[in-house]
Amino acid sequence: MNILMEAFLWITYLSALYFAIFWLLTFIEKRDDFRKEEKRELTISDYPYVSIIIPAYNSESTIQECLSSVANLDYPKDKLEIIAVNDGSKDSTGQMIREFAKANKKRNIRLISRENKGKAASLNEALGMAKGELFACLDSDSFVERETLKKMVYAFKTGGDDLKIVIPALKISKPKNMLQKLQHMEYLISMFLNRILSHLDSNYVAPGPFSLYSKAAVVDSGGFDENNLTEDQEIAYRMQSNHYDIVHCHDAYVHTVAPDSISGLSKQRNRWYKGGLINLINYRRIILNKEYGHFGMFQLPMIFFLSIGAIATVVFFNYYVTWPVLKNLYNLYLVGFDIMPYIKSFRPTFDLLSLDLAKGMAAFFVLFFTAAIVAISVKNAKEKLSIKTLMYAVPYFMIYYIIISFIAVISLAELLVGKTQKW
Amino acid sequence: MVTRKIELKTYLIVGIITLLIFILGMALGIIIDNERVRSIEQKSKEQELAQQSLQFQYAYMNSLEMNEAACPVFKVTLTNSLNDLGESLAKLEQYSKDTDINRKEFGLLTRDYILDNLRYWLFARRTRELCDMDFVEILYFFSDKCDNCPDQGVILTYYKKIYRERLLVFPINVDYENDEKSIKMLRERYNVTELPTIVVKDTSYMGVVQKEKLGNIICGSFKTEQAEC
Repeated sequence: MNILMEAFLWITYLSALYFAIFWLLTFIEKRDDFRKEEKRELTISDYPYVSIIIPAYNSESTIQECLSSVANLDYPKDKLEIIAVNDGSKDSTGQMIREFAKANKKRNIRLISRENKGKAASLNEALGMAKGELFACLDSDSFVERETLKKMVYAFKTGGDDLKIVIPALKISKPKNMLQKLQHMEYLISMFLNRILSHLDSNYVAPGPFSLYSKAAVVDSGGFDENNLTEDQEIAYRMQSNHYDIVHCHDAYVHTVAPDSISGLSKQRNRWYKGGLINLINYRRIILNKEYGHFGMFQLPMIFFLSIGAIATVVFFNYYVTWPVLKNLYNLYLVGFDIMPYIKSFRPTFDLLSLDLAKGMAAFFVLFFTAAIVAISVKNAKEKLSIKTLMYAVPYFMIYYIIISFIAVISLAELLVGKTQKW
Repeated sequence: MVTRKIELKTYLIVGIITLLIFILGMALGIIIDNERVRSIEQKSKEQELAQQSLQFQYAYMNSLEMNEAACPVFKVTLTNSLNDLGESLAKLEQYSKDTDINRKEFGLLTRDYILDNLRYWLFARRTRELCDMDFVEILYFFSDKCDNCPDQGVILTYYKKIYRERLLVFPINVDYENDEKSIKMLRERYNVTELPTIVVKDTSYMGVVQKEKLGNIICGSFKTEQAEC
């Protein structure tokens, strides 16, 4: 075997092992903190005023449910305003928001309608008229649970003066097809990772679905970056670079609609990965910089590693799957696709010495740590931990992860030739 | 401003655990590799014994002129030995490809096997006449460096699977020709100037012989009519 390939394989394995062990050790180390979090009681003496901003573009299929979930929040009515921004939708989104506001007069709902300018611009415009001390932004394809805001505000109240963003626990809303169920698994894992990152002061994204911000911190640092592909990552990087706190609220559930097709998924991820890399490059001074704690020493190198990991996955997939398949097809062509002699003479043999045990063991450890992380993630998200759920881990890593890696590598390649898209 | 502290300890502990797991895997790999060398060496010894036994049987047949009666026993020993040899050779090839540490040992073993192959080839040729057996033997000259040799290998394996013990393929890796002069000898005898080359009934065919053509050559080389032809 090619020595370069071999080295690449072992380095990828070592790094993956390192990161997985780091997470699990941190989890064990912080278990007491986690338990304390679970037992907290939500007592808020004075509720801060919160503005909820909903930027909406062509979202007639989800806007109704989104608005209802917000109107249904368990939060004092006089301390909450809802600002919906119709970002030049070509469908009936604007109309639907107007009707909803009319039907829910008791809730303070305002609508801004204007031509299409993008999400960051919508947020900035709404920020200009928001009265809240805190504000949350909610993607129009996402829905909050009744208790969510209260839990997040409680986190804000108890998190100290340096806390500027509280991020929610994201789940996929009603996953139906296989692709959505696999994304569901992915979100559960990131939920667990976000919780750990929160204890390491290393959260690197304030997701579009319902992150709660200190308005002053965002406005004073210049608002959302309208030219950034992933402004929700950029704002998190900015807060981290200013040494502010971002906290993940482990049970503030928000449900978001997942793409139901590969093309939808690749469009979404293309933007995420490009934006992610651009932000990584823009904030490169933080990478491996001790001043920024684990965020600099662990999290950013890990994001960098994930890109390498994606490239490695694509390379290994082609080397171990695509190439052998093509070679075998070619060999079959050489013998005129006559497979009968092979079938007739096939005798299953097992020889321990023929197995590549070093690689077998590597695979075992990767599987072991993966299973551990999947199991902990499912429990952490208060989902039912059953054999069936765990079974999803198999296609998750065998198929989904490979698809995602391909998308990441394509995004990376497009970025290198200078092709970026707006969203 | 948050004061950030990182505990170097965590990074170190994680690093140590990672290394331990990694070293464990590596150690296992080394043990397995040595175990492989041992198992091949053992096989090689067994085959040497089998060869001596054959040699004796052969001498016995010649001296006592009871050819016909001894032939069936001889035939069985020969086919078994050849099957054994083929299997070991396949394993040896796989192990040599995988190994990082025992390259030299596997190299020596390969030479051993090439010699075994040549000896068996001689046996097979003489036996066919002596015992009036009907099989075809093919000498297959190849090199690890030649690009389309694997194609010939695939086609040969295909026919080997069809004719089984009636087709004897003796692979000769010419990369070892500097160490093993008998390879050079045969190469000159059959005028092998191009790789791959196969030799059937003392006729050399250079370049990849495709499926159809090889099928015809094999069929034409049997003494009697075969069902597969």
